[in-house]
Amino acid sequence: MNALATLVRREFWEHRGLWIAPLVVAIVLVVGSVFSGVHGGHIQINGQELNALAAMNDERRAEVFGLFIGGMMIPHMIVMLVVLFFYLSDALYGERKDRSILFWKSLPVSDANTVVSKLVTALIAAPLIAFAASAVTGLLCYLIIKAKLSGSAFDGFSAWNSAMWLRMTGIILMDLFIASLWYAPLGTYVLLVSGWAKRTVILWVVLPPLVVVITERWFLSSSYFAHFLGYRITGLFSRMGTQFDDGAPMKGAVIHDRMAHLGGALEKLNLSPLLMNPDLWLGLLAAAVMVLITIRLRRYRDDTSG
Amino acid sequence: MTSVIEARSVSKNYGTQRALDNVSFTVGQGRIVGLIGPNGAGKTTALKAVLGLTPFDGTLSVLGRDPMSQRDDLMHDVCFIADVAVLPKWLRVRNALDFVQGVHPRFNRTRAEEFLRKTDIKMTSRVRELSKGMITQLHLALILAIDAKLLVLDEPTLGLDLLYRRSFYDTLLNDYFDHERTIVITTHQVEEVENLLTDVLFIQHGRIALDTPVEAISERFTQLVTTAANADAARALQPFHEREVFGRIAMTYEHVSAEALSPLGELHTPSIADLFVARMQASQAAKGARP
Repeated sequence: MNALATLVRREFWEHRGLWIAPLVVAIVLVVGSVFSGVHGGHIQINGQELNALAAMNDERRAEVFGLFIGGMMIPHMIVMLVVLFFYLSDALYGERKDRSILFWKSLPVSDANTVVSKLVTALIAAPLIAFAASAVTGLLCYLIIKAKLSGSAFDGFSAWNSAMWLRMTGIILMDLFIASLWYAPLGTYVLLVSGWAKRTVILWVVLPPLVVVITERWFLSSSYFAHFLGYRITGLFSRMGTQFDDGAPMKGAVIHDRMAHLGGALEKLNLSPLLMNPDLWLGLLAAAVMVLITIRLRRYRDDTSG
Repeated sequence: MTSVIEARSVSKNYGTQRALDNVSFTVGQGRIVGLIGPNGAGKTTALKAVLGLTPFDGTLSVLGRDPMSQRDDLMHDVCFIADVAVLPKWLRVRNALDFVQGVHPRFNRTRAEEFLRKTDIKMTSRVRELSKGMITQLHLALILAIDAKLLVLDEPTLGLDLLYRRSFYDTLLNDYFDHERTIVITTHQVEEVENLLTDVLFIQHGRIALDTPVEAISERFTQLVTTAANADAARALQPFHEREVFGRIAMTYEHVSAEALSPLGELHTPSIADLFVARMQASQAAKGARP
């Protein structure tokens, strides 16, 4: 257990982006809310004055607060996904490229432990750091915006709501857990290619699925595989994003109407129904098979002789 | 003598190239063995097989374990420097110590820190900021602080200047070797390790060309330095190697008695470097003579 912790720390020494990226996102969001269009008098969304907020009841206000806290997670999550893609594509390639694998292999660390430590980093440690960063970001942004609104007509709107904060934080943690499970097969696939490719890992990550998609299109005139890939990649976000993207313009009445459905939006942020989705578990099975292949690759691959 | 490495008919092919060809040898506990051969002779392949880094044919037992199937267990007792400069550039010295301490139950951090204090290496430096010599010192500091039964060094001083090379081997001998531990060193710079070794294994074209304890060399091999006048008589005793030095002729014999040779000139025990050159050139000549 101590060894695994050391292995995970090692990943953060090598791939500093894993902790620098959430820090940068947090700074951007905090600085952004300092200079945001939130003033004492009015709130603007797409240039439209949002007077609707002032007229909201306590329940709606709690939901706005919840959405605010939950929304802070989304930029963190998107950036983390990008960072993790690059991390995983380098995780078993970098050590072969700089031959440091010969140092790592001179120590009593099994290939299974090494591979697992990289997955633990990508699927548990890094998301937890993104979570902590998003929690702190949410808190700071809340305080900044509250200060900006204090004394105005919107003062009451920004009231702190501990119950809602706990609920949202719980949902975020659960979502991260589910996202890790959902993206485990994709992440493991990238790690496998990272342990296999002689060079240009990212090309080898992208190429095989692309070839399958194009071949299917040419010979079968269908696009099942493309849809499958799209589903695996965007499956989570499509569940979250359907609330506001029906293309209707953000006019006062529409916004007012939508504010009435804030509770629905909160529900959309909660991904836990996905746990019942068999695709999630089939994906994990595929991930397990790929992990075994990756461990064997690291064990028997011998391309350091030069 | 307990054996630490037992190799029986070990072979390894890279494609059509035969890197190891039916190699058998034994390394006993407490020995310092030099695995010596020209570039591409199969030294590194042999070590990789011993360390479980590459699959091979034949049987190999290291500290009683099979390096392929029991590698994870084996690495608790074996340490190696596979090459110079394999420490990753991004690694901080302090973190290198943290890491080995975290994964190796037999790592003595204090010992590594003591060793590092004698060098110019700073704890906060990254490997990329260190010179090649300092990187080797750091690697040595990590390795020396591990209580291993077998240490394997593959060209550990390649590309280092003389001062670092000398201090590397001095440290190895004085601070590490204790007659319980076993060390296997490969190098193509024979002079470097000559005075260190207890055994030599010459390897050429994937085969063992000579396998002898150093103390047996003087009995088995004799070098005769003679003049042109005695050359024919000396050749009649079948030296396996002959070369001219400053107008005199040096001939190297195996299993020829000193009594037979001493009337013909001065007798010496060939150095390991001499012996290496003699063996390698003799087998090259034999190869050339074949149709």
